[in-house]
Amino acid sequence: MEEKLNKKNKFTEFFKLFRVFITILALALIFALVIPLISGCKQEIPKELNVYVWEGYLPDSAVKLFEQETSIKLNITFATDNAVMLTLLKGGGTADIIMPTQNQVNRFYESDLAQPLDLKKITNYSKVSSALRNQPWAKWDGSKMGSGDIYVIPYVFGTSGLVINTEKYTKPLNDIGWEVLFDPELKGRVSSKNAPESLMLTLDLLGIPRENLITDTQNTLEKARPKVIELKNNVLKFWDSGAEILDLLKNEEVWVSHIWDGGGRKMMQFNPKFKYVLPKTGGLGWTDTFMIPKSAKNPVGANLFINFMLRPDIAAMITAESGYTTTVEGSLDLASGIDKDLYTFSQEDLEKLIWQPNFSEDIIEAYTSFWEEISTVK
Amino acid sequence: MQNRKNIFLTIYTIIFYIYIFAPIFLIFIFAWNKAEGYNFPLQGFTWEWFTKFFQDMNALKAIKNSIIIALTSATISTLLGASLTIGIIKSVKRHKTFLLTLLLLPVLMPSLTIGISSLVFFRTLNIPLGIPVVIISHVSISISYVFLIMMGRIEGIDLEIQEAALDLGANWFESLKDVVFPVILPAVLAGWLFSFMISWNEFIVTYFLIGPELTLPIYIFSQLRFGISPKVNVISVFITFFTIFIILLITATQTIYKKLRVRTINHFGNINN
Repeated sequence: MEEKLNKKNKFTEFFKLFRVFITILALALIFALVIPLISGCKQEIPKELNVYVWEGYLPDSAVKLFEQETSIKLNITFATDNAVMLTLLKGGGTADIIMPTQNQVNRFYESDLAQPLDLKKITNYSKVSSALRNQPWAKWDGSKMGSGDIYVIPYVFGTSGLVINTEKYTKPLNDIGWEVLFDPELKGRVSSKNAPESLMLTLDLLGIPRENLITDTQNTLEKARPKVIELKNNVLKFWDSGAEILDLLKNEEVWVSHIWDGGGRKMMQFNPKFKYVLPKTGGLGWTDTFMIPKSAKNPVGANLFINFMLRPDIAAMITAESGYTTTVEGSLDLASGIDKDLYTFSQEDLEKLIWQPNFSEDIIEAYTSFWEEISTVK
Repeated sequence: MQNRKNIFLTIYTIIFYIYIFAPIFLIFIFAWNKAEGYNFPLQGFTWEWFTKFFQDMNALKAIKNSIIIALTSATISTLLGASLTIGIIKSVKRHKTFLLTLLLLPVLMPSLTIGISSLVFFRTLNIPLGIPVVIISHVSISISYVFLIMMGRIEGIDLEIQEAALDLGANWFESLKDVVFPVILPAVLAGWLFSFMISWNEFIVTYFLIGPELTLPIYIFSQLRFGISPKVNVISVFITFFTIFIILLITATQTIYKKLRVRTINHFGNINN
């Protein structure tokens, strides 16, 4: 009788374990079957386009128009940072369109993440402003930039310069330069971007060409160090985000600051006492470009998308709704409801624009850690 | 002496609540303010941002995705986390410290590390990115938190009441449903709410794994580059009102339930007789 009970107990114990094991196995099987089905379905539909754009570059009206005209569904997500976009693609993420800034495109080329653009399919390429059309950073031949196929098309472009609260800073503005940020009379009332961009403007001020960072990194950084520390001591703080500097300016905690042109325009529209000017040594130029990653699942759709965005009437929508200038010629005339003067740059200003050179990974690392060390040390 | 202590406590409580709620209150005010940004003086009353919010497809999609992800991952991680806690309390006798430390790892690891390594992991296995993958990663992060919360609450409860119920004739399922579950319910709810919050706020890991979709934190963070739109204030207003509504609903349900029970008992005498 006891033997029978013992056997029965052992059996029930074993059966309990077995039950658990079977449940886990069943769940795992369901999981393995369901997940590919859910996302596998998406993969088979070619009528979708995954885009990584910067916030504000794709108003809903343009999205609806594109979806109507091409019947391709747009899946949009917003980029937050160039470095994050790079990490995402390196880690295996995919997209059909990304928008790296022009000074970072070399990192994408060198990591073999981009594919050349078929300009025969992108007929509106001719509408891109001639000043920006054949830039060396757009070309890559497999080992260096400057020659080879075109990999990116500049789309949104802007400048960086100075915004000045003319009520608080009453000196004349015509010959102003970056040195105003070092003015001891404005101590605690100036700001600059918390990024190596502020290091670059220091180099401009010292007359050191930025290419020296490539040939002679450490010495150039050391030469700039005392000036950067001087800037750090003169600022109220370095601004980390566009939202922050706009607030600081509106609250009049900061009177003069380095700022991108969109922010400068916002301040001018907020109150005419704010003026956005480019320093006499030349403003900084930047442009966000279209790039098709190698891992794109729908490159045909991507070409259609780029061609669509390069239409002057669509580019006009971007300018009108988000306040950013595009490289598309003729789009300003079609943009309704904006003050065109705010968006036009004089030929002289355009020619004096200083573009950030494309640095390789190790130089980027060198000046980034240099900047972090200085900007955080108290 | 007693009065002095009370006054100090009252003042401290008031200041504490002001500190917590003043920023939220300010965001409310600026949801109806004409100008962008958070600057005084106010520029006039407007419903403009509310209309813009309802027209913004991206904002609505982002909120929808956030809700779906948060609800799913909270439910799954509560189920798994509760089972985990009960299992550990009941059966783990040896190597308990080691196991507990292992379970704490997702809490201690920085989100960036978890995000990038999850991205590489899933892509090496060629699993496509998207909302399911995000839910999985949120669950694996939340389980640790759920475990921590429930461990604190359940350790004090004597789980032998389940065996007592079995002895008294309940079957395995009934013993859980009628005896154990009501006792651990507060802990389970706390765990669910906490993992909902974690998933709702999760930005870094989500950003790496979600592919071409938006969630609310991504939508807001991407605006930092050029300036935060007041639509974000509108979103905050809606979320706050929704939360208050849910709490009122739950309290109302509880009160009505209690009143009904009392009335039934009074009317029919003790139910169990």
